[in-house]
Amino acid sequence: MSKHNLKQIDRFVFEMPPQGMMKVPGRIYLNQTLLDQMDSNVLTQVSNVACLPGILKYSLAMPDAHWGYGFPIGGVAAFPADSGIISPGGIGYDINCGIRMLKTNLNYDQFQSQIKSVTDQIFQEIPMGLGRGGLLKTNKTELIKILDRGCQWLVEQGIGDSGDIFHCEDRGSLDGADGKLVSSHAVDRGLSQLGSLGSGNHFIELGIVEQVYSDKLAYKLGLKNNDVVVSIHTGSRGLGHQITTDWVRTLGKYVKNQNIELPDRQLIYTPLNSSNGKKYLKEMQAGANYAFANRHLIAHRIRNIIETRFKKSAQVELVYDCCHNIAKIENHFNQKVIVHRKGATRAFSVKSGMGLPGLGTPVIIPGSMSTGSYLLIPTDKCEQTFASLAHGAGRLLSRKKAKQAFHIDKIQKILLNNSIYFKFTTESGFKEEAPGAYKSLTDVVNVIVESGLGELVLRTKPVANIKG
Amino acid sequence: MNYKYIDHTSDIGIEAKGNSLEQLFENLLTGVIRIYKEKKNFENFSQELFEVGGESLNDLLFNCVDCLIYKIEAEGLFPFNLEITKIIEGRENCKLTGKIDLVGVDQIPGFDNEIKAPTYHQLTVKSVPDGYWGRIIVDV
Repeated sequence: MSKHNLKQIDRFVFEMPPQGMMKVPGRIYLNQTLLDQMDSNVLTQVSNVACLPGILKYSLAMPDAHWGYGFPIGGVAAFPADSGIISPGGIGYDINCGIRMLKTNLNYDQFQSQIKSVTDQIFQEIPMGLGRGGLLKTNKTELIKILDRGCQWLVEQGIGDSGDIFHCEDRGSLDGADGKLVSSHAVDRGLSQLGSLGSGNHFIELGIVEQVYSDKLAYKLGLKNNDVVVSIHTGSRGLGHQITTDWVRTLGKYVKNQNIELPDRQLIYTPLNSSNGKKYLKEMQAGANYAFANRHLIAHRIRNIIETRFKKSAQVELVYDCCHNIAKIENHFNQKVIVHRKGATRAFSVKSGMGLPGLGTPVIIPGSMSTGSYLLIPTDKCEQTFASLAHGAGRLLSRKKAKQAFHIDKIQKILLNNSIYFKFTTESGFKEEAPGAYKSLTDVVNVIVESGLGELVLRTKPVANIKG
Repeated sequence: MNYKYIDHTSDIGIEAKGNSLEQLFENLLTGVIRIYKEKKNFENFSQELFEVGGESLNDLLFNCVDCLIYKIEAEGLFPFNLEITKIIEGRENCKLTGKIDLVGVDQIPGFDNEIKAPTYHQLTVKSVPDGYWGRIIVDV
């Protein structure tokens, strides 16, 4: 599939007309720079997704889309809930990998002298990298409860408060999850990792609100210029990865037995209403609840660190927690559908009644280590994308190329020149996540805003970054 | 190095050749292990039998990587070396036998990377004129 196959139908919308086995067109939200930077493998993957049975309207790619497996990262597709399919390749291995932003009642001037010590303490106390355990020592019985109820169970145990639930997508717990279905292999991997950051692109970032674009919306979120915020990006760790591995294997057999030809075996699927479809959905939801709980535990520890250091004069509250890799049953275009978002954020406008009162579902879009994040509120126009927006800046370079291209001294210099303190677990992982390995976050956000899909609320600037 | 890492935007791909299926699998799986840690020698290690099955050679490779990840994350043992001694290729059932050298994860001060899972994306095991060739992409 070539970029020449794309037809520009709007200033920021490129369409791939159906050809071959494609059942619907592909639609990609881009500007010219992002189009030039886009790997043509993304187009092939958008086209592959468009071939899936029952796909509705379009195979979508967000502005940060990049080459993945099965779906592209940044891929979105919806199928009828009553007769459609569910595909682990449309969700990804790291089920409910997502981001949460915490706000503090501290401003930069109050916080500045403690940036290094707070960052060092977070780095020391939050398990990150491989084999470093988790914050919550648990057993299988308790773990099943967490898989069934996510953050809600933790709050009932006195970890966190009701605000932590209210400001979470789906209130931090997906109904329908059934932890008892999850394999013993997945449970074994998840037991020791609950409350851990992991590695790869997972991070903890301390930042300040550098620019407020909408005082009204920022006020509703309890944020203003110079406020100190904390972002946490992680997911369902080994438990979620194993659930997906188990189902990629199981559904591969189904596809083979049905003689279904797929352009990429990672696009394996099953009817949502089949026995396997129902089981996978329940396990995927259990994995998502684990991820909610994982971010919740990390946030709770960071809250304790900050509140202890500032002797209780500090308050740390959740702004919002967004899922990135997930499938959810939602209503769109007067139909109940299952929306697959792989590296995309749910984006319901205020009119939907979803998310937070008077706001809808806030969308937090983080960039690279040196760029901070944007916070947006979706508009009604997001219905075009099955209520989905970008989830990050999107990778520009592969991990291999990033390691070759960036010397560690160069990355450190960029961060120090921007007054960003940093900690990392491995030099190799740090280089893979170099700022230059990512596309421009501003380009991604501009496409969203200028195409009318989202309204800017604010932008944060990092002051410290921790890479797992 | 009997394997090479290939570009994949978000993940890591490994390609290798082998004169035999056993050598191919050994090379590919060594490439997987070295993503975690390049170091090849550890003291106080143990050795275990490594037996994995699969319906096809592709499934076998996928399952091998899954087994290695489980060893590391669930059992806390890092397989820093491996030797594949035999692969039986059946029509519906393949079986791999080998040995792995294991060291406790807690004895390693820091891993270079963490693999989430094997993928079937572009996964290939095939015979070529001078032996076998394979590729696997892992999610990191």
